[in-house]
Amino acid sequence: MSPKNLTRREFIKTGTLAAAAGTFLLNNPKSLFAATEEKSRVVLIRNKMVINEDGKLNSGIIQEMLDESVRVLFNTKETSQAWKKIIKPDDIVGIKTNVWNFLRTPPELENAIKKRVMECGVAEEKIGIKDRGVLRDPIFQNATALINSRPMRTHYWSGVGSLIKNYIMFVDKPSDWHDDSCADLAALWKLPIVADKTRLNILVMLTPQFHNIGPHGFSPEYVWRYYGLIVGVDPVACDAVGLKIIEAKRKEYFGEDKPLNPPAKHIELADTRHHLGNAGMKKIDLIKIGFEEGIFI
Amino acid sequence: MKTPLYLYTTIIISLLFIVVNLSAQIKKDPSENLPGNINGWSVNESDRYFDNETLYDYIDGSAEMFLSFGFSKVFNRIYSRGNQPDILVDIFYMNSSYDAFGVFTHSVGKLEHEFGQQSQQTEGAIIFWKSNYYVSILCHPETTESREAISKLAGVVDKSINETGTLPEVINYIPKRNLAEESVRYFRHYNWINSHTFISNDNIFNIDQNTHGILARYKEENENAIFLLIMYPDNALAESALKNFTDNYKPEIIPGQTLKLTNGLWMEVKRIKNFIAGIFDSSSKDFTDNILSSVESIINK
Repeated sequence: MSPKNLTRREFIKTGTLAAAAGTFLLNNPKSLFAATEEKSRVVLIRNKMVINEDGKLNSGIIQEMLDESVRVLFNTKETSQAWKKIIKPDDIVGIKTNVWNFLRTPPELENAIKKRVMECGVAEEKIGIKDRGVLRDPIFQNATALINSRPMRTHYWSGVGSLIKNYIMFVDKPSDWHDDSCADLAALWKLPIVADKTRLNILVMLTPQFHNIGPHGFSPEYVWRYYGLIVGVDPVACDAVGLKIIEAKRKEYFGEDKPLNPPAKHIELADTRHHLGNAGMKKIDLIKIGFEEGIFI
Repeated sequence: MKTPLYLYTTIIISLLFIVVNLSAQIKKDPSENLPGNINGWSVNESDRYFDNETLYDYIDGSAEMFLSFGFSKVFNRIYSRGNQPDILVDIFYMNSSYDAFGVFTHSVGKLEHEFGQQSQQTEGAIIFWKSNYYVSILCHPETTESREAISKLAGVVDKSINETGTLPEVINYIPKRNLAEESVRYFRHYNWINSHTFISNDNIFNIDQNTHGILARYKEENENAIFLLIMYPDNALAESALKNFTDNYKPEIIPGQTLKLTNGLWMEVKRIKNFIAGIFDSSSKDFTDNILSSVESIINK
């Protein structure tokens, strides 16, 4: 499969930028975590075979999707080359996941990430996979690199549960960050425990949730099989792409514009107020790979 | 004169009847009426309670919604049965029936009346409100057996709540003609102002716990509109809120005048006594005028 929506010239241009960014990232990650004039590259990869008929995930396909997405993201021929751009053998790596019991980061994806990190030469005991309790986990306390992964879902207070929001477990009292519909979640990314450490963001769009119901906010009626992963270095750009898909699904399902309430303003403010990344689609190079039906973007 | 025995007997029976009746009325906590076993499911964990401080530990993502209305505690019970999925029963003790109604309206998709005062049943879930209780009974993934069990449990909780709750007064002022009933949203926190269309990220209507807001959709053949009605404690507060809105929304907005937007849709916002009424995303000027004149005549009645 190959990138679908870029001209060759654009692909070479952004690919070169991404490759350069990858090399640069190990030495100066801060430069990629600010909204810049450069576009943020985001890979949306979809594969219908990733979910079996009985709803179980195919771990082999998950691995393939992850591998292809990072190859395209960092413009490398080999998967290992891509990972070595972001992970060094002496890194201590925290894989920040999300364990919400109705829709968690799939263990199959966690394992796929861990496998590639270990292939970069990182010892298993220097890799942590965790959501709650990261503040008290020695690996996350001493991490030199973070990989952030969670499913996107609608959320009663922040509009959506996003990659940006996934770092709320790095504070003692998450509710302190709920003011104004979680408007300033991007400021979490400047906390010393995470600042400039995130090497990769993976927004899980395998079965995203587009509407809430009840106190737990979940009903199987409001998730759908999208078969996708959104992968990028810029968490804001990944979230912005995911949000567009959620909004489009809501419009299709409800038959009318049904804006998220509250709006997921923390994504836009992550760009305009906190300069964490790019939220505007004009500043995102979206590369779409794979299954096209019902792509919504 | 000697008091006849039958008179003593009558008094004692009457007193007993009153005592039993009173105790039935006092014992109105619906969690106490839940069975220990149902259709093969049984309770094998201790019941749990959560309050304002601990709700975050229990529900991930919606605690703020309950806090924005007001509640005292949540009762949680888990039923388990072999290879079947667990059943979660949550009873929220909201501060008032307004709060129970408000929370319910914010996630309702299709409105039903099978349980409580209003209910909704989706795959693996029954949600309803009655009096000051908001009740959720959940089983994921749903099975044939669990569907029957959660329905029975919902019936038990429903029957154990004797009283019904009153709706917020502001409901009485919304026009019924062309109202999409399932679209009614009640709120007292500005976070919910965008329930049907984006209006603002900020509290431009000065909404607080003393204001009562309603958002709803109106539909008639090819006509559509979103209606906002906010009831303030007095006319001065409504006027002040209107000024805040006009200062911070669109510069071209003039209260009481219909405005055609660049997308071809219409809007209008005006004060009527201690209310602010607004129409957003309306398909025509006539539809806008009709709804606003209806609400004006209801308020002025």
